[in-house]
Amino acid sequence: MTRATAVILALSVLALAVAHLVLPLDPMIALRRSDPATATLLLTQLRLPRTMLVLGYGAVLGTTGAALQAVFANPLASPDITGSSSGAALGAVLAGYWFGMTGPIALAACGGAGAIVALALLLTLAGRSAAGPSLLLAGLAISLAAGAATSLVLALAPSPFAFYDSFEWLMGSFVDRSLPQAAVALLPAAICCLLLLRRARALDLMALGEDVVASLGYRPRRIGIEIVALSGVAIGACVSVCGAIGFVGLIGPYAGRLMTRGHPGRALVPSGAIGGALLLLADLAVRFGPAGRTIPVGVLTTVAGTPLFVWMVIRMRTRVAA
Amino acid sequence: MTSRLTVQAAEIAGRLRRTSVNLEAGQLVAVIGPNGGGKTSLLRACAAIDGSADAIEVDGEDIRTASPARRGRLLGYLPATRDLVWPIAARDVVALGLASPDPSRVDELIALLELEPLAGRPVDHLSTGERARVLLARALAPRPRVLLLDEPLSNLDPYWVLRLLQLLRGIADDDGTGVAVALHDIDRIGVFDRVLLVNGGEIRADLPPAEMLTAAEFSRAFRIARGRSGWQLSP
Repeated sequence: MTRATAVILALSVLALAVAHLVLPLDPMIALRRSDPATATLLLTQLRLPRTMLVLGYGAVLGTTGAALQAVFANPLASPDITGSSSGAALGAVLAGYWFGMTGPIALAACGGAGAIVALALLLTLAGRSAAGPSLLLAGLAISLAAGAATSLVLALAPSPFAFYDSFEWLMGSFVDRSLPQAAVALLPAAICCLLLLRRARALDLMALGEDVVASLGYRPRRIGIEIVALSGVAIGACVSVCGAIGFVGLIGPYAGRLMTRGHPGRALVPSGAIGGALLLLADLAVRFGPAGRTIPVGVLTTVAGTPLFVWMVIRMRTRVAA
Repeated sequence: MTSRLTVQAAEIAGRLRRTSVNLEAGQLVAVIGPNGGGKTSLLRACAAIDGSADAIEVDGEDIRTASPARRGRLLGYLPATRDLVWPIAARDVVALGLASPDPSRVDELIALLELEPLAGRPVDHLSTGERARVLLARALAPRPRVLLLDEPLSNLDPYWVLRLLQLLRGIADDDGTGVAVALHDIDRIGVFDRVLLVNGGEIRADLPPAEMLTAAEFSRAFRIARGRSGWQLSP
């Protein structure tokens, strides 16, 4: 990635974050005139955690997506398609509606555990250097199973409103999240992502095959487990606060690798930046939706991301055929 | 002659029995053997990729405790697989072999392996033979003192088979690199200094090429023998 691209990318993310924080502008200005104290409160207590969460969650999806794709040597291995987001949702739902946990830290821990279990299952079902189709199928199976289990847990939950009030959260939403909630999701996620970045060089070399990496003294199996665990914790923490959001973890790394001339490890940082930018855009768009209705942001990213996913699958198929 | 690579009691459970072997400076060694006999296992054990060993040293330095950058300069390993998933340009794949950027070294290797027309193309779009040359250039990049190459000649056209053997001979002679090459084409072993016959997970014979071809162990392992009209199946 050239320095110019890096600067442009960083500035775009910054501009989007500022826009996300202050838009729509009119009510903010009106409130500022009538009640400056409330306006400040609104900005720091409501708008700021939301912007932080959106940017952070997007960055987590992009970074972990890029790392998982590098480890599985598969451009489709994003958090949602590997089933780790669904696993995290199941973990958090189980903890929240079944075991009655309410503390955000406990929920985040259970979300992380759910994501790690899903990724560990994927490793056993499909194996690490799994080819595209078998990884997809194993991920699909895990997603479906975790989704069904989540529904079952909600249906049998002691609270009769479990289904209703979990809907918005599970589809991915950033409405009315507090600063402590943002901290619970983003602190562990940030630590995990920084630890992932340390592996950028090894992940680049992973492109040459595991034996080459091992011949240089790295331990590919240990790196694989480390990346799965770190990604699981980061995704789980975010999912437990904001729900599962699809396709950002697929598109972010795809665009990130275009910026690093195909290098899977070097793509971690740009993938994170693009993931953050994409989710900021999506959440901004949701905010300008019909008044009085909240469209879960996860619905929007899925609608926008599906065509790209289909295109990638078709490309993969033609390559296998060729 | 000085020993470049010293391997003592290397072992991979179920694949390679306890084996000690060394590679002299400037020596070009062929590793031959029937399918599944353990050629790849021997090379992988010598590169400390798999299994255990009492010692794996390059010029007396234990490669297993060396940093990745140092280890890359001590020993280069080229696996037999040519699969590459990511659309990385050929030039960048060669550069991945270097611990720190060195564009002039990359240019040198691109010229050496005549990769100029391919340099900017993504490797996942190259033919298998072209990819084999790119991957070999990556292995040569840090000028390792020992090269362990698993079937570098497969998928290559006749020109490149001859050119590559000439190149490896040159690297061994000029830099004193110890080179071990696993190969199937037994008609090529004449250019090597020494031939290891690997079968049943162990080194069965360690001979100069001319003696290897007439050794009893050779025809036992391959189940072929030299007849009047070339190689024939053993009776």
